[in-house]
Amino acid sequence: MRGSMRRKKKIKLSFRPKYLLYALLFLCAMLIYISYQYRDSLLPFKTSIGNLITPMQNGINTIGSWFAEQVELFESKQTLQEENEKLRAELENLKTQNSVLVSDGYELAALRELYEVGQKYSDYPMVAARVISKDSNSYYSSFVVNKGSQDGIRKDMNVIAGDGLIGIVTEVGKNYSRIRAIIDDTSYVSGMFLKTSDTCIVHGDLELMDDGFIRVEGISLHAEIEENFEIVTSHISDKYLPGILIGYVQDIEIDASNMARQARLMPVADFEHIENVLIITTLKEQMESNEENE
Amino acid sequence: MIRCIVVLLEILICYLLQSSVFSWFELAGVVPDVLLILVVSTAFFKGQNAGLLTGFLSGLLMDLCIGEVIGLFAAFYMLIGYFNGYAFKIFDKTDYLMPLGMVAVSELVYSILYYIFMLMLRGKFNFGYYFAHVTIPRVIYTAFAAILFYKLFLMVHLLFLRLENKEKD
Repeated sequence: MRGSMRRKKKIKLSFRPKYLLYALLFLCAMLIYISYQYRDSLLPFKTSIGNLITPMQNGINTIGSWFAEQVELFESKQTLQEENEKLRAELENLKTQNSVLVSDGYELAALRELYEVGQKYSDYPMVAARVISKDSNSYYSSFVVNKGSQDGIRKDMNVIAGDGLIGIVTEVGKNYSRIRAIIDDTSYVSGMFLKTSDTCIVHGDLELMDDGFIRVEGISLHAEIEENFEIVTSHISDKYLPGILIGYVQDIEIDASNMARQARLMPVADFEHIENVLIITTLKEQMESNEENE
Repeated sequence: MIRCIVVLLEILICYLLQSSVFSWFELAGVVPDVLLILVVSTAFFKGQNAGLLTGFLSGLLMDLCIGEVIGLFAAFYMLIGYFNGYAFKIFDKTDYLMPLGMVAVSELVYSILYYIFMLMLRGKFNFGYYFAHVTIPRVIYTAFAAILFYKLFLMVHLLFLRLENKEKD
């Protein structure tokens, strides 16, 4: 018994690494081809792995956040005191500013009513979710939240945080869903200037990501736009609900083709510190079919 | 058999750490690549076959969880495991500098491979930017993390080596 086992081990070890490498490389190439070609039919397999991993990440995350809290506690008293003083001064400043703004706010509300924009998307039904894992790869920006198909989340649902669009649900498991942020290099959102209704494409860009900007492309040369105009999701998009605020446009310039303009966009959502997000449970398709019925 | 299970467990734990806990300790927008450290150390301890398979499995796990296509990360990590396996011949458990260098070089190669396949093929040619803003911080951070994790993996390896030797006697 023992002898046979030892022989088995010997046979196993006599694999030439080179051939094993070739075989597995071939397998990888096959896998890449298959997964690229039949992306959708492989999804259930991927989500089942996700269903297995996510609860573990959830658990380990609670430990992680505890550690992070402890590290934060080490921040010295001195810096906190300095910060406190600074903040106090700032607070006074802001108080006076606020009183001015409040009066402006009344005016704005009245004007908004006239303009009939309002916060349209606050009427959409939403589900709150907590971010449990960020991508372990520095090139992507997508993250996982703790709500999944059992909470009514579906693929292609829009995700917002604060006041603005954050991303879209790309993968749904039983108890988790993956969200691709709009700052991701592969993200394209069809956008529109709120004031002039000129359309554009909001395109995540890794180079701008560090500074917290997104690229805006394909703005018509004739569009009467200025710096700091709001960009919202457009009516044309087949996945994003119309009228969700994305951000404010900056640095408008004519692009390399001389046929259109491009700009940078300062998103309203804070992508550095996303903890809680809201997932809009209305899908664009549903909304359109409802409107047709009406 | 036990070794296989231990390696599988190590892969799982490293992935979990990397994807959840480490995002709390993000520096310059990057997290250390613990799976890579695991692959390099396993190849260093046990040779090419083991490095190859560890790389393949950890890459596959990453593919299944975050990849766009399945098999690409697996191929990257596998190659890293294979080439680091050459160093098995000069494995010395008291030498700490060598594995750190190996980890740094591997991370560099991995980042460049990644750039070529995932960014350059999509028409992103600004290599200098990616190199300065993602690759370099990642290499440095991973090498620093390797100081701690290499020691940890070595301890686990030596522990099981001792257990196995005892069984034989």
